[in-house]
Amino acid sequence: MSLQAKQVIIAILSIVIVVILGFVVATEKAHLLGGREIVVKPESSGCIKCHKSEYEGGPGVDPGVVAHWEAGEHAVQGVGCTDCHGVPAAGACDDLVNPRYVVKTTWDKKSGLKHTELVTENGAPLERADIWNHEGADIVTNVSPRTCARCHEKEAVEFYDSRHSSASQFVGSIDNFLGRFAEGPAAANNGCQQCHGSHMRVETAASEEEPAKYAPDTWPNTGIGRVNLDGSWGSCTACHSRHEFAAEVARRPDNCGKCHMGPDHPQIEVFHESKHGIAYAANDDEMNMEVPGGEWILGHNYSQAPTCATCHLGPVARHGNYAPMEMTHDVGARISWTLRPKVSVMPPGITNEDGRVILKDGEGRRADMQQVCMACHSDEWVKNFYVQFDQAVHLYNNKYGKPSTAIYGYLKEQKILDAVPMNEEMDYVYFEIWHHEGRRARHGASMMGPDYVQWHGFYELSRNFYTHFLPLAQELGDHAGKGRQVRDFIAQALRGENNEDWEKYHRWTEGLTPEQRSTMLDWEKETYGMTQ
Amino acid sequence: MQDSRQHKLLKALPIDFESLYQRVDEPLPHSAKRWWWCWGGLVGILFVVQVLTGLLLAFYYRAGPEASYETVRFITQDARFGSFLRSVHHWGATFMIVLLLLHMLRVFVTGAFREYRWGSWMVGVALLGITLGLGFTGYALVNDQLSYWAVTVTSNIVASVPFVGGALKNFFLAGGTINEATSSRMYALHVQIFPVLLVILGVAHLFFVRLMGMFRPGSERDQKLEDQETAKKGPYHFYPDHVTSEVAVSLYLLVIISLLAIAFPATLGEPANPEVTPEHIKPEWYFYPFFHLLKLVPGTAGVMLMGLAGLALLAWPILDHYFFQRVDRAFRRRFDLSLILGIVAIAIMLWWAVAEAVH
Repeated sequence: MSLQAKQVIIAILSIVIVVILGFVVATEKAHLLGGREIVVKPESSGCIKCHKSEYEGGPGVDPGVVAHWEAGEHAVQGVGCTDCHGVPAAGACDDLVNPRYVVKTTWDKKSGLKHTELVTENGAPLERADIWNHEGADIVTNVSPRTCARCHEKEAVEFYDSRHSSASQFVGSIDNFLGRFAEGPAAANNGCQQCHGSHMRVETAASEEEPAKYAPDTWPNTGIGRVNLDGSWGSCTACHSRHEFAAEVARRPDNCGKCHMGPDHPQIEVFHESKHGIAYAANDDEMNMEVPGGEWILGHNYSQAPTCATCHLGPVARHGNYAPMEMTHDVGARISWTLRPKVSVMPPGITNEDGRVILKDGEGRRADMQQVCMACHSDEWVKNFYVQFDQAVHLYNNKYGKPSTAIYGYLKEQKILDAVPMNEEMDYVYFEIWHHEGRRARHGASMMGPDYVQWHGFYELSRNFYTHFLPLAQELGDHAGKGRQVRDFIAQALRGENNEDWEKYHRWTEGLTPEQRSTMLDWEKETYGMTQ
Repeated sequence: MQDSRQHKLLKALPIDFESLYQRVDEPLPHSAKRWWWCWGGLVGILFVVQVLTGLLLAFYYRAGPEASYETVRFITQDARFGSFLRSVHHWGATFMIVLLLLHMLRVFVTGAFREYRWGSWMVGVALLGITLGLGFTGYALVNDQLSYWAVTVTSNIVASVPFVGGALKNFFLAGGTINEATSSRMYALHVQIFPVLLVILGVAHLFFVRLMGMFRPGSERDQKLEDQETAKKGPYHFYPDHVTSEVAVSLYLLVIISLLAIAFPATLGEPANPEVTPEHIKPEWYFYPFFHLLKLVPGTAGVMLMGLAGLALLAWPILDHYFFQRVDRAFRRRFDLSLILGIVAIAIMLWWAVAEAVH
C-alpha cells in the first residue's frame, strides 16, 4: 500500500476516534465528584417534603430525621419512609411476617425455644392498635424487627433467637422487683426499661386525624428486648441508631456501653482497661469501621483491635486451618459461661423441633470464640487464657457464689429472713455479692481487665463475704435464737460439696503460719520501713 | 516558510536531528511491508496507552483492603470518564496480550528466532511473563470477589513451587494469607516494578533486533527477489513507510478498543468477602490453559510442568539450534520439527483454553 493511501487511512481513523470520544463525552453522566445519589421513591417524596423543608411555609416538621436518613445507606438504596413506617396491606404477605398483624411470642426457658403465633380475634388476624392513615398511607411510628426482617431476614432470625430479643422478659427477676418496687416505677421506666425494653402500650387509639398516642411509661424506648405494638420482641434501633442505621455505630464499643456498664456488669469499663481497649483507642481511625454491614471482616480489612462486635458477632477471615466465620446477630453465640447468675454454668445448646441448631453447646460456643481469638493470638495463648478464665469462674462459684447462695437460702428457709425481697440489710449484702462484685470479677476475667478481676472484683467479694455477709448471717441466726444451727450450716456450706473447699479456700481465716507472717512483716519493713 | 521556521526551532534544541533521522530511517527489507509485521510495535504502543490510562486511574485509585474496591467503584460509577478510562485500560490489557501472542506466533512460524536471534527471543519471552504479571496484578487491584479469590487461588499455586513456593507466596501476598498489605504490594508490582522492567527489557529487545538486523523470511530465492525489488524501488524506510503503517494499525486498534469500552465496559463484582467462596473461580482468559493444566495435573507436579514448559519456551532457539535442526538435517529437511512441536503445543494450549472457557 502506498504511503499516501496509508495517510488517508490515518486521517479517516483519526476522525473516527474523535467521533467516538465525542460520543463518550456526550453520553457521560454529569457526576458530582464524591456525591451520593439519594433515591426518593414517589411514595416517600411527600413525607420528605413536609418533614424536611416545606411545612406550612416554614421549616420541616423534623428535618433532623430526614438528614439522618439521607446520611445512611437506606437513602442510597431507595429504602424510604413508607418502606419502614408503612404497614403492608392486608394479605400483602404471609400474615406471620406482616407487621400489620399482632403476634404473640412465648419463651420456654427450659428448652430455650421461642414460639411465635398469630393473634386472632373472631377468626381473623388482629390488627395492631397504632395503625394510622396519614396522608393516604397506613403508617405506624413504632417500627419492629418484623419490618426489618422483610429485607434482613437472616439477621432478624438470629436476633430473635438471641437473649437480646427477650431482654424485657425479666418480670420475675429480683432486678425487676428492685427497680419497680424497692426503687420506684420511674426508676424502672427511666432505668431498667431503657436497656431491657418496655412493653409498649397505646394510651389513645389512632383516629382519622391523629396518630395513636403511646403510653409515656413505655415510649420513647429503644430497649433491646422491647415488646412492640405488633407483639414482636426486640428493637433493631437499640444498636443501629435510627434513621441513619450506620453499621459503624453498632461496631463502636460505646454503643454496647449504653447498657453494659456500671457496678453490676461493667463490660465497657473492662474493655477500656484491657489491652483490647487500649489498642482500640489508639487505632480506631484505622479500622475501616465505616464499611457496609457484613463487610467488616477481622483479618481481612482490619486487625488493629477488636471491639465488642468483633468477638461476639463479627465475621472472621480464613486463617490457619480455620474456614471463614460468618457474622451472627445472636450475641450469645460465642459465649460459653453464663457470668450473670448467682452461680455460673455452661448451659446446653438449643435445637428446635426441625433439628436446626439455634445455639451450639458450651464447648461449641467456646470453640467459635476461640477461632475469633486465634485470628490474632496463637492456639496455646488462647487455650491458656481460657484456663485462667475458667479458674476465675470456678473460684467465684466455689468460694463465694455457692456458699453465699446456700446460706442466704437457709436463712430464708428458716424464716430468719422474711419472704419480702430487698427489705433487709442481708438482702442487699447477698445481692451485691453475686450481682455486683461477683459479676465484676467474672466479667473482668472474661475480657482481661485485671483491675476488675481483683480490686473491683475478688477484693470486694472477699471483704463483703468475710467481714459482712458471714458475720451478719451469724448475727441474724443468733438474734433469731438459731445461732448454733446457722453456725453449723455456715461451716458445712464453706466445706463445700466435696468437703474440700474449706481447706482450699477458707483455711486462711484461721491465721497465717509463722513463716507466712514473717515473710509479710519483712516485706512491710523493707518496703515501707514499718510493720503492721 | 513554515519549513524554515520549523528548521530554526529544531535548531534551538540540542539534538542532531539529521543524525537521528539517519539512525531511525533504517532501510528495511520489503518483507516488513506486511501488516502483521506491525504486531510487535503495536504491543509497545498499547503499553503507552496503558501507562496513560493507568496514570489517570491512579489519580483516584488507592490500595488497601477497603480503599481498593471503594476507589475502583468510585472510578467506575462516580468519577467523570472513569468508567470509559477503566474500560480502555481493561481492553488495552487484553489486546496487549493478544498482540504479544500474535507477534510471538509470527516470529515463531516464520522462524525469525533462528540465525542466532536468541537474545531478542529470550527477552521477548521475559516480556511475555512480565505482561502476564501486569495483567494478573491489575486484575488483583480491583479487590472484588473474583479478584480476591483469583489471588487466593494463584497464591496457592505459587506456594506449590518446590523449595521457594512458600517464600514466593509470602513475597507476593506480604504474608501467609491475603491481608491489609497485599493490595499495596500488588499495586507496587503493577505500577512500579513491572512497568520499569518492561521498559528496560523492551529497550533490550529492540537492541537485539537492531544488533542482528531485521529478519527476512522465505527461501534464498525469495530473498533474491526481495533484493531485486529493493534495487528497483529503493529501500522500505522505517520512517515514514513503516511508521505510517504502525500509526494506521494503532488507530484502527484504538477504534476497536474504544468501541469495546463503550459496548462492554469493565465490570465490578461484589466486594471481596473471604467468608463466601464464589461458585466458579476463574482467572482471566489468558491464564485458562495454565488453570486447566493444574486441574489435570494438580499440585506441585502441575506447577513443575508449567515451569518446564516456560523454560522450554525460553530456550526454544537453543533447543532448535542444537537439537531440532539436527533432526531435520538427519531427515534431509523433509519437515520442520520445531514448527511441528510448536504447533502441537499451541493446539494443546488452545484446546485447554477452550475447554476451560466452556467448562
